Amino acid sequence: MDDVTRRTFIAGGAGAVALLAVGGTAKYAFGSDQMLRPPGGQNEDTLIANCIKCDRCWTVCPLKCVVPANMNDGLLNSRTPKLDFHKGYCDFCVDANDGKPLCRANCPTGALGSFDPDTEWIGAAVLDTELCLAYGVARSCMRCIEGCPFDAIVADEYGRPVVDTEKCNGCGYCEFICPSNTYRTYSGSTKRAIVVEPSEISRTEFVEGNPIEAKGGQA
Amino acid sequence: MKITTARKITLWLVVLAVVGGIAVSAGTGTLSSFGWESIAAICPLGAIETFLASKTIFPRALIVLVILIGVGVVLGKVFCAWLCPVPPLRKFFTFKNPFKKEGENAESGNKSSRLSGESVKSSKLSAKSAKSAKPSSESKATAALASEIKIPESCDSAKDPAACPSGCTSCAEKRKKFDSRHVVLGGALVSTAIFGFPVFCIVCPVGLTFASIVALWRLVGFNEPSWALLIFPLIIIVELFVLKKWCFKFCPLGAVMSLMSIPNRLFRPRVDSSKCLREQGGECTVCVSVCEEGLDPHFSDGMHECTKCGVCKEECPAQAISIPLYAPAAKHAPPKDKPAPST
Repeated sequence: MDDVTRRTFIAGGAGAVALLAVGGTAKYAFGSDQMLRPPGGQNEDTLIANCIKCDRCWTVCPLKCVVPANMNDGLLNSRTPKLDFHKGYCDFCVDANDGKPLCRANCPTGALGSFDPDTEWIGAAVLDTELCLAYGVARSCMRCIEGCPFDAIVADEYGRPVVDTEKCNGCGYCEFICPSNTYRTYSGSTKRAIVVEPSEISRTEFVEGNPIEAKGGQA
Repeated sequence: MKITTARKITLWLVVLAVVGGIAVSAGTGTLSSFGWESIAAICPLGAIETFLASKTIFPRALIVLVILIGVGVVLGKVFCAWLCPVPPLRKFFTFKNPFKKEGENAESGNKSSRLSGESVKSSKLSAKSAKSAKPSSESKATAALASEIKIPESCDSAKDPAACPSGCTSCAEKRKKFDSRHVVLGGALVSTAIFGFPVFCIVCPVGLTFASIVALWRLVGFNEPSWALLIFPLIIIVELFVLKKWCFKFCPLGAVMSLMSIPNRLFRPRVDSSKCLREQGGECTVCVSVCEEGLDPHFSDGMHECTKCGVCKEECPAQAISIPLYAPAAKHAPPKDKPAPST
């Protein structure tokens, strides 16, 4: 290394310091909340450490629910994959790839790990009774109850949907088909009555930690 | 086909493949990782960064990294000239001062040039006329060229080598094995290990070029406006137009490529000394002044930085340079103040 001259050392040193600053800034100044990640990306540290933002997971998603996060999600998260259940839902590639999610098959660096839809979750569906049509005007709406691929939404005594969080793995089908917004466009909000929210704890931890609440419905 | 034409076509094919892959949801990816399902190339710097950030080595990434090192040994730093969108991007957006002479523009940022733009031009012109001339008159044309490039009358290399213009011993800064890019690379890797994510990927101009395309795609196709559309190009502008010598001085990806290319001996430019004007005693240093990497094809020093761009071959007024599969090792540059031995 003796042939590194002073000038190159200054230029290189400035670049190196700049990259340290970029690292610290992105990590601590523009962090953001927990994000909804593709199946297998629930360990946020692993995902952030391994994702090289190559765009291969979201471009292969057959149902278009994986999308690239943008600057609004923070500098650290931008270009990493997230889920948008307004665009599609996750069927864990049952149709497209025998239940082996293509996003994971495509990930070259191990940012997306293994995922078992029966014991793990992407997040959990949370129902907003203020927005839900079945709790309001259109009592007959049963779209999510009938549509849930994992029978995680049951009808209460009035036929209104209740989320069985023990069964929900956050596939997003309910959010995808929820028509609440169609009928409430005047509210100006894009939030639907049932929304999959990311969870900081795993599904097993949740079920073991909240045996009673888990039956109650809301995460 | 000219090498520079082949390079342009290659790059456009890559851009088309990337954009096409996004358009039809093929999942082929960008230059950060391009391929089909589990068979895919990975950016070598990105792969190393993930190892450091996660403190684990993902086998598939390691295998690809080893293969890429093999590619570096065989093809050298080809990525920089054939696949990287950054140099063409810089050229495309570089404002050309219409009041400057043509030669000065072409040479901007290349303080190593000895030959003025004018004489490059004129020598090229006469080289063209030499081409059209009959083969028998070729040597005559070369002599004419040499005279145009001002061979000192007293020069007779056999008698007095010191009187002849030397090889490019002082005009080009010699490329060292390690330079500022490697320090930047070190900073990128340390930062990645400390903060636990691939730091350089955030500001990588290659990644951001495609990220800008993707951001535009999301805006048009999905009505998703994002600050990215402003911020990504802004980062690229700062890197390419404010730092200027990005590839030469800062790019840590280039640093990785240069390290992988150290063992490379194939596809190096070779100078035919019977045709070379400099070796005939002329003052021609066109090959040095056109080289983006500041190399002198007469010498093997720093030649692992050669990107196989073919510009020296195409610009040589005497067509003395070829890029064969394998050429016996070129001589080392002589120490400064001594003239190059003319062979």
